Amino acid sequence: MPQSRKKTITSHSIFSANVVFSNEGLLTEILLRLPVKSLVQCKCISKKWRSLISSPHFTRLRIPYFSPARGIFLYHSSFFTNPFHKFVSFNLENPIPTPFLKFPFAQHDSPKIFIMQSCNGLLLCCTKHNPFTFNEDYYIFNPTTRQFITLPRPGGDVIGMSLAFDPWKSPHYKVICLRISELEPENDQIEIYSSESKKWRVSGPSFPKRYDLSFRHGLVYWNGAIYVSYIKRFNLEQEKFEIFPMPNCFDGQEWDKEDHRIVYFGESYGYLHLIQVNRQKLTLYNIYEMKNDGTEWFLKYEVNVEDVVSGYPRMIRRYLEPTDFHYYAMAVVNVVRGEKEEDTFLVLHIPEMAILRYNLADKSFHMLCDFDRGQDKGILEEFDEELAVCLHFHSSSTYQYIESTYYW
Amino acid sequence: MAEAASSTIEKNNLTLKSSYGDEFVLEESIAIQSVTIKNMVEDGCSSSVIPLSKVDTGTLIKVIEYMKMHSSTSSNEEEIQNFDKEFVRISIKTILNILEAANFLDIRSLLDLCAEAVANRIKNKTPEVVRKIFNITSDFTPEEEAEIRNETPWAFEGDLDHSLD
Repeated sequence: MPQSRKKTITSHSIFSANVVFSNEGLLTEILLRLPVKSLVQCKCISKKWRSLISSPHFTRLRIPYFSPARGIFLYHSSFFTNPFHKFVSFNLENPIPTPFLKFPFAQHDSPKIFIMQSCNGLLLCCTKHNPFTFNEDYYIFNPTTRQFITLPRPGGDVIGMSLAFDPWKSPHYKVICLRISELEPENDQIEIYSSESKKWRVSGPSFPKRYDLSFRHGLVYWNGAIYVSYIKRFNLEQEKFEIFPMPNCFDGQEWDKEDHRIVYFGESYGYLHLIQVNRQKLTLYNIYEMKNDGTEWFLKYEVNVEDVVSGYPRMIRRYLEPTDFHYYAMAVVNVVRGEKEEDTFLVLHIPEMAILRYNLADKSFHMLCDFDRGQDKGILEEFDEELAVCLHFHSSSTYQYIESTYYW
Repeated sequence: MAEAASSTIEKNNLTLKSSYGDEFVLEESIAIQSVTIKNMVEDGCSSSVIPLSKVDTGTLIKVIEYMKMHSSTSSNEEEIQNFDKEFVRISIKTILNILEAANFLDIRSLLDLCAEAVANRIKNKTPEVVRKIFNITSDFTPEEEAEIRNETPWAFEGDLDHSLD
């Protein structure tokens, strides 16, 4: 017990809450630890609290408190049903509800809206693409705060867009647009929008059309570059396309004697991943990670998911050769990283519309959900039982949900 | 072991004095968890009484209790975790006082513990209650406040806690 002069200790204190909360540093310490919902509520406490919470400085400080991805949006389209997005929470014990049920910018009679890319808490969304018109709208949407902006239209007809948002580096995001050159319609042009200037600007000279650049699906932002294919990225600092190497196993592979294939390419919690499989052992996923400087891939995990096949043997397409890349109706839709190494897991998709979580640390797996396919189920099964063993989601049409307070 | 034995022989004690003038004698090895006190000791103030004019007696007792537990070599991680959990089972106002003291004394782990505890306690409270806890008078007009609420109506959905503690 502390030694003290005999004195009755009074319960009152010279420190009133006023003193604490004139101290912005301490207030920040508390606010940084609030979940997003409470933080948004706290904006109406006072002008001072609002400006503190909305400041870019606070947004940047809050980054270490960013939670890893907590769920995933899956885009589904089929002949038989209207396209839709489904949300799957990564945690079954403590599931988070669907962040939003409807895009707040969806007009009653507007065309369908779909997500094009998820990037560190923000989504790039687009009205349904019609290949004959270019008058679609693009939106930047924060699904946590449900705030959005409609991007102004850039100079010419838009082919596609991609979002680059790196809260670790800057509180501002950029949108990279590939569009048809106005002056030379046989050429394409890159244009870049910055949330800081709120303007588009032309980047570099126009260039002959390249059909390997679509800027529509499966684009990944990682570490200062937009990855547009397995070998090509757009470097945002130098504003030009550059080639980056494939993993070594692809060295010297001839196109017609393909033994290896890339089955996944994506980013999670600041890590870029690629999964390669060999046709001789299709259940063995070689998960590569890109080195921090973006110069080469290294093998990070080797995972054999044969237990999943034994658990759900319906996915085996027995009418195919076992070395056919489609022998198993199973797809990796996401590699998810967390704060700790042992938090890493795969999100797998198997027939019918089931989503599994496969934890790399202990090789355990469980189902996260199995959607009811509803009306198109019957139609397919009338044709052929085997045809019904099909997949509905692909990694390039799944989008991680990351909670973010980002405001602009 | 040798180090522990020698420190028990020549136990260096410090005297901390609260803003009310109450004095507390504490082993130097325990007190220097506070970076502020550590700096004072290194600057040669250890022989005299260290006046903590910004920390009242009640708060200082809590801070010393915390420092003693956290420098104890006999308690394991689980005991410390349980201690921390119990330690913040006090009124929010008291936690805020300890937070301020932890900031002044520069005891990072105590600051983290208190900031986390306050955040946990206020996260489901109504804005009105949060204002009362922090003695804040809203400087928004009712219209302005309604506008902020309308920006993000989802944040105000669900049950909120009206209690003050």
